[in-house]
Amino acid sequence: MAGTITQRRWDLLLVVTAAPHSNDVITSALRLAQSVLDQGRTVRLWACGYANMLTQTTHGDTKLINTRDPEGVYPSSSRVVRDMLAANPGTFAWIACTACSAERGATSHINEVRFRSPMRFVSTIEGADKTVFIGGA
Amino acid sequence: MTVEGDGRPVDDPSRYLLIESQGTWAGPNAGRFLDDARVLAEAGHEVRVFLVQDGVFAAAPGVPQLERLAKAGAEVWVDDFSAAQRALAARSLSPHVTVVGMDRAAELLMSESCRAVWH
Repeated sequence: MAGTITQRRWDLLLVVTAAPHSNDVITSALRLAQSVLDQGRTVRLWACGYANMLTQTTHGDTKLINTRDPEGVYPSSSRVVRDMLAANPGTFAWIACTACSAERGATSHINEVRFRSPMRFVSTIEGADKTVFIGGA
Repeated sequence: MTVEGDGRPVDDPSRYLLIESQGTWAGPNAGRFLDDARVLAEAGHEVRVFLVQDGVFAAAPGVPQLERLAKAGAEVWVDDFSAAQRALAARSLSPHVTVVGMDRAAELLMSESCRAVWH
């Protein structure tokens, strides 16, 4: 008899389609994700479009030097995501869209990010109790 | 009792969290989004509008959409971080709004039967 595959359920799926540097939308998305995590819930984030640039290894761990604060250390977006994933093992996940990444030549994600084909987008939504689109469809 | 916009009773009132992240100058859609919230509230649904990012500027006194929202019974929340980033002190905001943290929005979002839209 064939076994059954049980799909893991997540409390919240955030689909981030917004252009990441057009405003402070990524800050808002990460703050919302962290607040939901702090309530003991599970969160998955699907990076769509240029949001896939956020987790590139080429960012390194820090942003460029701030000339007004040359001694300051400002974590890169890759580092912020990596730290959130490390701080929330099994309860927070970051998905990079394979098509969006390939279209932009941005396939060098940090190891902690999972690749997923857009063909599985609907099943990803089905695997979450709630889905919020941030940035429009 | 809850009623539809045309006066008919609402069979199944819902809970809505409508998140506005755009300033009122960003185009007509921002104002329309707030008007959609008002229509839902007038129809008897439980509506909370969460203003975040440039959306917090809609919390300035005298914004007509906000006045109508309050009259319709919708709650309007202003994100504390976004307001602080824009140097908007709580005392400078409309008396119809409440300054809250992201945790309040997260709690409402994850509550049962809450429907959320981010604009």
